[in-house]
Amino acid sequence: MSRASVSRLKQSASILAVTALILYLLGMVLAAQRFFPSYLVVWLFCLGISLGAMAILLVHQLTGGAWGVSLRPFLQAAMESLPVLALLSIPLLFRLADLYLWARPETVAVSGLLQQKGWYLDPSLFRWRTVIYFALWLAIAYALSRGLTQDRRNIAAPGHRLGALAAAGLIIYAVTITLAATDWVMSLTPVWRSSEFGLLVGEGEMLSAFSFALVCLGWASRGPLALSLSHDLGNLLLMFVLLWAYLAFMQYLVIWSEDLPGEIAWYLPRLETGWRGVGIIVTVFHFALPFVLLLSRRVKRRPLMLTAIAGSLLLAHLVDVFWQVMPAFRPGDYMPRWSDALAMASIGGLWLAAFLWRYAAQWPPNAAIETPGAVHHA
Amino acid sequence: MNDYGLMAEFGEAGALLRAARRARAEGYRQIEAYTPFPVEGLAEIVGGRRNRIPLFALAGGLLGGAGGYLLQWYTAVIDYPINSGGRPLHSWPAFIPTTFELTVLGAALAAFFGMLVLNGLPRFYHPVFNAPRFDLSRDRFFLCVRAEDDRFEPAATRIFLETLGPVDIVEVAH
Repeated sequence: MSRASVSRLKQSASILAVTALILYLLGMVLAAQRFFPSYLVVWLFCLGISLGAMAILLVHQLTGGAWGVSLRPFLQAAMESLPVLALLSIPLLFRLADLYLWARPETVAVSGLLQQKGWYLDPSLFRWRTVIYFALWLAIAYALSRGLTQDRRNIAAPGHRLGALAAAGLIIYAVTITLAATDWVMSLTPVWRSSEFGLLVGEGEMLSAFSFALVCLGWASRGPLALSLSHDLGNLLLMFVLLWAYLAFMQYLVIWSEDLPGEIAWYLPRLETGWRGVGIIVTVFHFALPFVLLLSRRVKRRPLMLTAIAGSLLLAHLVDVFWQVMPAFRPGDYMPRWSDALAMASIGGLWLAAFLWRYAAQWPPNAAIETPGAVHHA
Repeated sequence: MNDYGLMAEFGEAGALLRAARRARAEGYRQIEAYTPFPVEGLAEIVGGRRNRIPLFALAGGLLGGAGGYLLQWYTAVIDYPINSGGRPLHSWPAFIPTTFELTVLGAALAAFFGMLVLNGLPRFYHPVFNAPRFDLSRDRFFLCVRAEDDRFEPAATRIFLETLGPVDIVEVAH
């Protein structure tokens, strides 16, 4: 990046932010009630990229490796967009009754099950939990981003201090993402329970963040990637795809085998209605196609192919989040509506503007990129 | 011309890498390198050609997976059908874990035995062990130019190898 392209980037980030903000207000005013389900989908998708980026950066603090150094600028900027998502969660917290059955007193009054689960699925407890999740995530992100920036500017060698942060941060991430996935997504079907759902959501977040960073790398890198680096990145992407498929299928297999009413309640509206087609699209583009392509060594060594696969995985993950959330609001009706496009343009736009702004803020350039050997271990 | 080749010894991995690169640039194609640990980039310089292990692994995996699925389908649907909780006899989700395991097993076995076959292993004799200082449990790195290389000439090749700054050069007998 040169000085001119940095100021250009900042300029387009501000234009994007203003446009997205206008669209956001439009959505809130024109169609609040219909807007919120779409809001939740896009918000969860963007949150996934930010949190997944944080988790990958934490892992990289523990493992080291050239792969992480090449992706670090994009992952760091994505992680640093987290405050925008914390702000965007506030309107959701005040409209819980538009989203969740358990937040509607008249529904709870007639449902024994919801009364039973009321000790956890309670609006004010839910709000407090969300505040705690974001407090923890923002604290980890802040400490990590400070450490990475000092590292980049060679102010101090963070060494094992960041290693300890990474170990603790990953444990906190695993616990909080399980609870947050239960709160935000699983409770859309209050009768449903699945103990590995949090892990599946967290893995999907890391997959989407890794794909996003690969797309950014393809967009930003001028020179060709080293073949071995491209190969490593391809193998890591394949690992994310395999782990996602493993978790997603295991959850399905266990629930399919047991065939209990409380558990199949999640899959029936998603697989036995018009949503089945969307489920098949997710299976093909989130697993089958990238899996087959990434087996090939030649594909992994072609950065352009890798970028294309990462881009399609990112889109597939958006469809996956849509497929998880939307059937709760539009049973059997899988066609995207204009409110979805509006949410994508406004919330996605705000997030992307924050990302571009944080990315531009890394100038002057990252010293660590020029010396890929400079990785530290815990 | 009964020799296996000429072998130069180097004291460190970097010197071997540079030497291999020079030999390759000089036009030698039949070169072999021996190191006590994997040296990144060396395989590309020395070997250069693609091997068929990935193909073996793919075939083994497909064969293992298809065999595993067919075995379960045959036992559950044809040979010994049991009504299990009213599920269809051909319940594909239940077949996936075993199919997956056998895919991995097939691919791993094919890759392992394919590697042995392509390397000509097991093998009880190899000429390079005739070199007196050939010992890969120490910090020694060897570059061997095969006598069957088109550009190989005992005297000229020895002179060329000497320009690479080796610790030692020996003739390797068959």
